[in-house]
Amino acid sequence: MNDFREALSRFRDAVHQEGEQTASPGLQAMLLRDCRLKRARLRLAAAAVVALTLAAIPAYENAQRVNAQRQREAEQARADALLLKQVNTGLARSVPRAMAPLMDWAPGN
Amino acid sequence: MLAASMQERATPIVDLAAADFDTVVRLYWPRIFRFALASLRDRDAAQTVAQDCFLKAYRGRDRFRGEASLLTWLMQIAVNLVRDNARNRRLQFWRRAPAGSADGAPVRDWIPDAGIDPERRILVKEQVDAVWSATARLPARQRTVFLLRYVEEMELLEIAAVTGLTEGAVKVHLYRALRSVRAYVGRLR
Repeated sequence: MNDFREALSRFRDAVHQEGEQTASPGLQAMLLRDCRLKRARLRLAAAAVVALTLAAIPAYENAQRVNAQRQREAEQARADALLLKQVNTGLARSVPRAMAPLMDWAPGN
Repeated sequence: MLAASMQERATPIVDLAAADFDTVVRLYWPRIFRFALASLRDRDAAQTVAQDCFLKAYRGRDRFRGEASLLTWLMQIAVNLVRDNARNRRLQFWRRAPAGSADGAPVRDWIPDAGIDPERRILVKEQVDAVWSATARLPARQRTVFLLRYVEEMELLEIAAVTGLTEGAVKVHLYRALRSVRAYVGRLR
């Protein structure tokens, strides 16, 4: 029992002794360190924002390019469809439009 | 003069300027630092915790109403910071020290007073190492209560105020911690 008490007391002395080996840096030094830490964190956050922006620019440009390409393809497809429709309409006539009046003179009419 | 009044209970610090608060820092630094050191077993982490503790106290000094002593209030902040620090270290697994390195922490390097004979010095060193290792194995709350009682020599009611536990809960934690430490120290003999 006494040994244990002594062990606790020695332990306390050791911790106290160890604690005294590191002196207080003082309030001003603490405030300065805190200020530096905050500034470093801000700089890190700003760098992260810049890096994200720089990484996002090529991706944005690529997305824009793909969109424009799709739009062009859609317009082309619409024009093709219209042309095809006109061609089909032209093919459906029995005689060309310019010869249509002559058809009235044809025998059997 | 100021230092003496600080040590008294219920010292209002709301109106303290930075220069005066520096006295508070110098006065209480050893206690806060060694509590953090004994809890975290890492000198750098202890220094960070102690500095954060005083910065928090300085910035929140208008919230100190003098219901408890200045030491109780500072210790309350330190206990919370130690808990947060330990929690962060658990999450930062890549920074975790190799297993068993806690036993090689600061107090392990402590050398007893050179005035005693070598045989006794070895015995004393073994005793300190045994208690140090035993406290490393305690659950966080038990360790906090144990350190506040046996290193900081605080009263049970003060410990209750610092930890936010009831006096009964403090007694239970202290009893369990003491039993564990005694068993561990006894096993090593």
